Amino acid sequence: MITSQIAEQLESPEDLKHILDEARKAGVDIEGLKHNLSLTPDQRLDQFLKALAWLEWAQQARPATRTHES
Amino acid sequence: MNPEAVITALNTHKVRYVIVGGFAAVLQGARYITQDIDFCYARDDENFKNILQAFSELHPIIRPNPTVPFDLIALQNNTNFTLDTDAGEIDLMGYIDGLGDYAEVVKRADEFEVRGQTCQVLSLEGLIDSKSALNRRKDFQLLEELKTLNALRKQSKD
Repeated sequence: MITSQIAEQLESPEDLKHILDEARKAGVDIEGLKHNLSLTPDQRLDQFLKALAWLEWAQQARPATRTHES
Repeated sequence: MNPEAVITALNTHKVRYVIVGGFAAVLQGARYITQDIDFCYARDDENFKNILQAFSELHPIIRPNPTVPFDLIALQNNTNFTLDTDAGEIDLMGYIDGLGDYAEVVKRADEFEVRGQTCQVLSLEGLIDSKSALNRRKDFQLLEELKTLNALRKQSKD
């Protein structure tokens, strides 16, 4: 049985609670995901591009910091 | 990375594609960062022609073999490509593990409107199946997010 078929069968509140419990244990930001689901695809893209820009900035900034420390 | 430019180019030239992988997960709501965009594309002569027209605007370079031109011969002889383009890194895939070729993948896509462009995006269930099939350690966190998003979406529908 493929995963999506299993997912289709997850109807009961107990199943959902189990998935959310496992996600919490794995460190998933459930509130963040709930927020994302409330956004439009364009808003999700804006949020992603902003996070990517920060990451790229941090990747560029890191070697400069090392040089400064040394 | 400029997803808008890529999607606009593909749509302008009527390329048949589905957005898959990490970027599809982002559009579906995952909190994930990726530096490339993955597409599954239809492997037929008409789509090859349209892909080449769309990518001519993006100046693609085949990553492991920059001297090999991205042309009809390359498309006919290879299924998967990693391209460096003016709009960032793009993975073109003719087959997705756990799902199949474009004909199978598009059946499991959701239609999204992104920056005014209509595009097909792999569904949460499809993403879960493809990431599960790959069984890669690096996908563990994303897979948990996808399962959670799927559960939350179902919960909100009830």
